[in-house]
Amino acid sequence: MERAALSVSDLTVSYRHKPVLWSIHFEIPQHCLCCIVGPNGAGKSTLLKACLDLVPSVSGEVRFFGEQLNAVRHKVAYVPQREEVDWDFPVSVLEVVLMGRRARLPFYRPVSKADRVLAEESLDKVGMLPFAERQIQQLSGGQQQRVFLARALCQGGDLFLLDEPFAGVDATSEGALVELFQLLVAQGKTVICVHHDLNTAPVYFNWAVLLNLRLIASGPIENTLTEETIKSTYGGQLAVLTQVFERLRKEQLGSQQDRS
Amino acid sequence: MTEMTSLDLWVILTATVCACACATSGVFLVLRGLAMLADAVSHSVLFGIVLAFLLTGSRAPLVILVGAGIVGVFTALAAQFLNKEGKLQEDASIGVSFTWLFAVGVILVSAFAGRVDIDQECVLYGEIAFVPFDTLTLWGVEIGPRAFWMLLVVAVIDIIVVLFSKARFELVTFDPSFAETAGIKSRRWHYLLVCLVSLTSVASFEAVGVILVVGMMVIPPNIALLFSRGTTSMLWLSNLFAVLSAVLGYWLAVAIDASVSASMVVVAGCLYGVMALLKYGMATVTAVPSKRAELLEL
Repeated sequence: MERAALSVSDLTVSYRHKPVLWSIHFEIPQHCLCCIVGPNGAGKSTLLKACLDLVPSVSGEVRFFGEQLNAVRHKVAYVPQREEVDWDFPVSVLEVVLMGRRARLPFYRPVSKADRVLAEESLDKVGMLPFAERQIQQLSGGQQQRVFLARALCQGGDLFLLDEPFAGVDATSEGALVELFQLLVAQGKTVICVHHDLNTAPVYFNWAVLLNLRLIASGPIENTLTEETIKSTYGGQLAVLTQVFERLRKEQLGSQQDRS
Repeated sequence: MTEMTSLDLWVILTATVCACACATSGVFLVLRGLAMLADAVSHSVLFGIVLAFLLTGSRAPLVILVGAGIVGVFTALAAQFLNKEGKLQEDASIGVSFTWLFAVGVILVSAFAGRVDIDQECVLYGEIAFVPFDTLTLWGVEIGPRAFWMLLVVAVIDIIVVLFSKARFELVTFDPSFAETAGIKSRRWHYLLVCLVSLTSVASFEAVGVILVVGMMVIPPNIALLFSRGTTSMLWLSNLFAVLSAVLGYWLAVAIDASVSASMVVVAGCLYGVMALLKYGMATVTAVPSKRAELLEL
């Protein structure tokens, strides 16, 4: 059997002696387009960061393709939340994408012609090639996110971990990103996104991890994103619930009509 | 100014290499938002200088450089420890660690005043006008002020290190968590930068003093940042403005008979003001039509 792209067992993370993730246990197979969903403060971003050793974990084991992260770093590309970096940094779009290559090279080695070509191709894939020479501070939120994705593409790898790729992104960019994720999965890659919009989750993704400090459910999206699991994930946040239930009901109605 | 003597020339040359060393090590300091750390390191370096002297009894530049370098890194570590473990705010932790070390340094200077040939005023404000009198003799030949050669070596080290590891500094500064996941140890690069800053502070302390060295480290890179499209151009522009401040500052000091180091920083500050006005002036003139074009284009 093929090894899981990401498997997490008994992961517990605490921040200043307060647990933020409790004994998380799940597996995400390869070739999945997976979302990690949950309410604000559920520990979605922390989960990604703990998997990548960016925050210390109290206990637990994380495997990428059945190996420790150190052994397969070159296969894993991480895209942090857009707000985490300083977009006033004096650097051009192409240079940011080239960082994906530079991270792989020894510090004294300059990037090669081939690296540049690869960076331009990656920019082209996200539709940002015309902006290659722009300063990053001139970009909109959606464009920034696409540049980040281009950097991950340029870095290469089989597993893409993205933290809230759709936050503050315009509809056009969101559509372009989703299309690209689906293309990547079709090429045999695995994409895992932290996502907060329950409405779009079943449309964009085929695998889900539901999280609220503890793991609520994980698996193929049609089995995991049900009325029951959503209720236990979101608890009392009724506004979200009614919205989603309305949608689910409509869908069921639609499929019933299709059958009849 | 009547006629330029060789003394004047040495002072200007020393000021210029000092400016280059500061401007180079200051670029990533400014980009990382660590100007306050420069302040901390440059102050606690006093403690390092005194300690190195008391322990070894030597005033050899190498001993002092190493002593100050160690204390500089120690300050950064102490600040980080107080921040992480002591749960102090980041700025408070820097404030606590460096003032304490600096105060210990001041006590040591005054307690061992007889044995330590260090003048507090000179350490604080620098006295670049006296630099030419402390010369270095190599193989029996007098080759110029000791401070000049020390600063030249440090400036060359700064420029080589920054040029070679620019790409890494860029990576860990712009997106540390991405760098970390790619297997780059951000912290090592952070301490390399702290080392450079300590080295530069201690080499510059005679020329500009520990208070004003921060000005030379922070102001020129910030002027450069106004006009830079990348870190390479920022590096060169920062050096250019630093040298300009040094030379104009010297000229100002002679003209009004004031402290050279203070004049240099005053000129740097004025340059920043003028350049910022120039930039935002230009921005309001040119940005409006181009922004409109950009919107149309999208």
